[in-house]
Amino acid sequence: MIKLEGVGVTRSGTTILHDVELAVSASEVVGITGPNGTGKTTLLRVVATLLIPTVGTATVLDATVGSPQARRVRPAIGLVGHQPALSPNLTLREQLAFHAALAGIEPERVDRALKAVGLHGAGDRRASAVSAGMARRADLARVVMTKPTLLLLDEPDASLDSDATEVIDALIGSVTGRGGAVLMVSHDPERVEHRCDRAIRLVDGTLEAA
Amino acid sequence: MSFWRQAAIVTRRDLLAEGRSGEVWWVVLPFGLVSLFLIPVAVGSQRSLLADIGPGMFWTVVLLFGMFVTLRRSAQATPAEADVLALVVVDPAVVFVGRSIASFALVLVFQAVTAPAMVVLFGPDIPERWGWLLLLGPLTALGMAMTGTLAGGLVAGTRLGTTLAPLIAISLSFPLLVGASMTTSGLVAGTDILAPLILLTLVVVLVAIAGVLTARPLEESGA
Repeated sequence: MIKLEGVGVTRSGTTILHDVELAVSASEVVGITGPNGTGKTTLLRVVATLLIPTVGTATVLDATVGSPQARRVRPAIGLVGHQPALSPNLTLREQLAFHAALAGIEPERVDRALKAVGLHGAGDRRASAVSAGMARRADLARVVMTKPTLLLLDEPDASLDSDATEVIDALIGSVTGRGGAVLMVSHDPERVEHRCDRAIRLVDGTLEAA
Repeated sequence: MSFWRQAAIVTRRDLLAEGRSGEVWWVVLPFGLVSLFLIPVAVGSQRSLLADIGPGMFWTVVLLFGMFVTLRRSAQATPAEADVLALVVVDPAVVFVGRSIASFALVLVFQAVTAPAMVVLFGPDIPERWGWLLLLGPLTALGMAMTGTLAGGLVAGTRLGTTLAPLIAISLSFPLLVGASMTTSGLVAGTDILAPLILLTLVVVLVAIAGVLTARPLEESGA
């Protein structure tokens, strides 16, 4: 589902990733650990097809990142980023409804997704008025709604309480249950080892087995 | 889903966010009105002079403050929002058009409130062919809306975005100011307005083409 061959990313003269080799198969959950600033988020954005590698080849869901085909596989990718992808002035329900409308998802799935992440009673609250943990849950609800084949999680446990981590576990289970794959990055090796089939350490912009 | 239906969803979302934030209504519009009020105070009470400069001052205020309308914070997507939008595979041109329509509506509102204020404060001669103003206002608003959206897209994700965006937008809007002012002057003086109107239309069309064609490269470069 994911194959990175000699992937490197350089931005403004700084090498963020180099010689990254990674293969993730169907139903596999792979975790990448490493301290802050080592390029974990950059790696995730390459896999999300949002960032074209400077060198090397990244193939995601049979599409080469940077090719026209990569755009076509994007709806099958669910990304929960480090920062919430929410507009502060809209309610949580409105944000999901906006996403559903653009993606052609039935509106009924909005409330179901909110319920699945424990936000059913908070759907009418604006993003600016919810806690960081609730904002993170709203991001998870968006992914629940879209039923991705490839799930990408960036520091998924940040700001979340123990109840919400169960939501993440359930989400991972549903993706792998459908034959999908999960790639998560975290600075916390314990969390990664707990959830993942395989953990890899990112050191100085390149991967090494943990 | 059709291009225009998706664009309508983006427009609705932007107008809803603006309605909640009140940035245009409570910040930009009052300052625009205050600036229109300050000009007669600074110039003095020469009615003929005020009448002469009124339309030009109006378009200057519309241009300067209209840019803040088009570059309002509520219309700017955070990098995380932009990523999510890109994953929905919305054609970036849809986002450009949707955002431009929302800004167009807001600039029109700005014009609709400041124009009567200008008439009261400056007392300009109302042209006999005033009906043309009903075309001129929306045409200028459309050009400004697309220029602001384009400028916002050009600087998205850059460190100096908030500084650069207004500068780029105003530079690109300069022909709009010239076209709108010359057309208004022509209407008041009863002279031919075809040339400035063509200039204005041409600028609007060029900005529309540039906005649509650059939308995808800008989305990719923001990656």
